This record gives sequence, C-alpha cells and structure tokens, in this order.
Amino acid sequence: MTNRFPIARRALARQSSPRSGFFLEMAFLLLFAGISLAIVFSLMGAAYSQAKRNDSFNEALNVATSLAEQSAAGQNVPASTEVGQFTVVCTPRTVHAQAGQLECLDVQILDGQETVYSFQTATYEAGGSR
Amino acid sequence: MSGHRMRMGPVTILTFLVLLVMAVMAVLEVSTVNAQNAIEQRQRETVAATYRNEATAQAFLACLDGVLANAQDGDNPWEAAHAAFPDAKALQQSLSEPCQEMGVQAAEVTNLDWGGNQLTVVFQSDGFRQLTATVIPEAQQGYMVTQWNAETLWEEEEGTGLWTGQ
Repeated sequence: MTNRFPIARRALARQSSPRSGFFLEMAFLLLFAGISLAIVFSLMGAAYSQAKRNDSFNEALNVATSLAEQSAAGQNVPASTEVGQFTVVCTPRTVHAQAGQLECLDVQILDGQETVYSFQTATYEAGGSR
Repeated sequence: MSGHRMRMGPVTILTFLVLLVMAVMAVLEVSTVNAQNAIEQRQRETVAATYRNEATAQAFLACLDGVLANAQDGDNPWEAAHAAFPDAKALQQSLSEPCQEMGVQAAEVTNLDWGGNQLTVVFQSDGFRQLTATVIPEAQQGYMVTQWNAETLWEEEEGTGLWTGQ
C-alpha cells in the first residue's frame, strides 16, 4: 500500500518540507486564535462596560429615591448630586390646590446632558384654613 | 529533517480548549448582563409606577381637602365629598387637572369604596403597582389618613412541573 505511488510520493516530499508545514499550521492557528480572542474580548469588554453602567445607574436610582423620600419628609434636598457617571437632578415645584398646596419634586437622572430617567413625586400640604 | 518537526496536536488542542473556555465565559457574562438589564428595567418601571401612584394619591388628598373645605356651613362635609366623588370614574376626572398641573400622568383609580364611614381608594399604575389609601372623617382637619399601602400585584405561578406526590 505504501509503495503504491512512489513517484508521486517523492514529488510531494520534495515540494513540502516539514518546516514549511509547521509554519503554515502555526500561522493558521495564530490567525484563528487571534480572531477568536478578538471576538471573545470584545464581547467581554462590552458586557463589562454594560455591567458597570448598570451598577452605576442602580446607585443613582437609589440616591434618587432616597432624595425623593427626604423631600417627602420635608427636608431640603440638593439640586444636583453626582453618582458615578450619572447626575441626579431634583427640581422642586409648588402647585397650588383649592385648600392647600402640592409640593412636587421632579427627579431626573442625567447621563452627561441626556436625561435617561425621570419621575415625579408630590406631597400635599393642607392650608390649615379650617 | 524529521527531527525539526514539532508536534502541533497538543498545542492546537490546548488553544482550542482555552478559546472554548473563554467563549463560554463570555457567553455567561453576556447573559448575566442581560439578566441585570431586565432587573434594572423592572426596577425603573417599579419606581416610576410607585411615585406615580403616590403623586396621584396626594392629588386625591388635595381634591378631597378642597371639597371638604368648600362645603357650605351647616352641610355635612363628608356628604359633600360623597357627592363630589360618587365613584371611581368621577374621582378620575377630578384628578386629571391637578395631575396635569403637576406634570404627572394620573394613575388609574381602579376602586372607590364609601363603606363603613370611610373612603377607600385604590390607585394602580402599569398594571402591577397598587396603592390603597383610606381616609376617615376627622373634626379638626376634615379627614385623617388611616391606610396608605403600596404593594406589587403578582400572581403565583401554578404548575411548576414538579411531581408533588399527589
């Protein structure tokens, strides 16, 4: 079986040496590994940055709700609070009602200049006319 | 010549294994972040719905206080309030103006009950956050809040697929 095609085997042996085969295989392996690693690292990098943003936003949301509770309790709250990459902005407003007033608080979470989340809360204060 | 040949098999297998492990870790990390995103989205909706209920209920107190304060002398203020808010639909309409002034989309009034000398109103936002407020007549201020209960509506999933032995 091994001596079936002696001429072709000798020609093939002349054309491809073991060293060239090694380099070809190594180049293919490195190329494949490089592309795969690039894809994997880009995926992991994107996931990591998203996770970091999520954590920061959660912290900002906790601060925002805490400020809303403080405002509902009648305490003054800071107009702007930096939390990581986000900024919590509180804007108080007063809406007059028939027998009292509604102390409103607009809470916004900004990412740079862009508002990414907002909610409003209010507390009614009776006028005390009765 | 054959002495220079390096065995590529183990190196290739090792590389494939490393890549496989890293790919699995990347997929796990991406799926974890997606799960975190879903939780965060739920938290956003919950906070917004909670404060929407809260603001609408505070507007309800303002409306109620206004009606009680404007009741004519000699009239029973509580009856005036009953006439002003006979049902959930009437209260919903009364809340639209103060909520608009506050810049808040009014929560849905799903129930209004005038039973037992007390007024119980149920507000609901986004179909899963609910606030139940109960007020009773009070001589000095006209009304007193006896219940202010925020809760999340949920239904227990039935049929977990596990054999219970029955």
